[in-house]
Amino acid sequence: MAVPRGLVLKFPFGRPFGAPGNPDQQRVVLEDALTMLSSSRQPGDIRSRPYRWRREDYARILAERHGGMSAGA
Amino acid sequence: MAIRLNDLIQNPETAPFSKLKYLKRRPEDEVTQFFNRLFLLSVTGKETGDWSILDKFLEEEGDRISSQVAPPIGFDYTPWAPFKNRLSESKIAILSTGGVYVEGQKPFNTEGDSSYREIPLDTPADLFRIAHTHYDTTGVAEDINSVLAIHRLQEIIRDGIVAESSTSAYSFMGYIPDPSDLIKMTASEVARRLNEERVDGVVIGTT
Repeated sequence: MAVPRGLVLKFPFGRPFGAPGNPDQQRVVLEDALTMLSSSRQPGDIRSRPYRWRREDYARILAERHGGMSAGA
Repeated sequence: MAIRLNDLIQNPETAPFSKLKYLKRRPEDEVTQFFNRLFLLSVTGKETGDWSILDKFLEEEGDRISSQVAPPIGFDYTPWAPFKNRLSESKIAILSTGGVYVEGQKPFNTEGDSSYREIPLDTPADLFRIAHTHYDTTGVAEDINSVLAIHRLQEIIRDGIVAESSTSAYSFMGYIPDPSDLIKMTASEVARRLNEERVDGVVIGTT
């Protein structure tokens, strides 16, 4: 049995939402998962995101999405 | 003293550098080739200041090695439940397979366990426990949100992106050699609980 929707991230095993202590990264991933949940239209939809683990500016990604709002703000 | 090639990759199974750990299952000449290339690219990176070639090499080697040791699993069935609500009017649950439980609950049996734990959302950070020996748990030990993003969900609710959360989060321990009880009993039971609570969608942090 396959998953109906899957979000693939090139993160180290055991940190699916992101690095410990990086709420911005975790929030970006959770938002991506929720966006996928609400926009997928067919079973077996697997999407990947290009984030480069710790070398991404997740606060900037959130700011661009929400106009300045970031995790823990 | 001669160095045994495989001694160079005696990293624990739970090493966070993930797919590259499977190198030790590959033939010796391939391991030699890997280290030669790694050395060459490291020297080049040091000389040029451009480490992206090393990064690309490790990324591609990880993918290549893991595809050789673990052929893709074929699935014959993909379940589907359409998401009908608006996100901003939805009730969302967070689940994980990371072996999270709360002090006072029975720890998972790390040799195989299809049971689940109900995780109260207001659990104080110092009461989370992990029972799982098949992935690197140092991240989740430091911050529960790394595998079970309950605090991020609460922030998302506060910001109006999602309406509400399920009463609790749920946790499994993903090392389940015989999944029959999971399929027949425990996964169905959690699904039934979430349904009774009228949860619209679930995000599972897999480990």
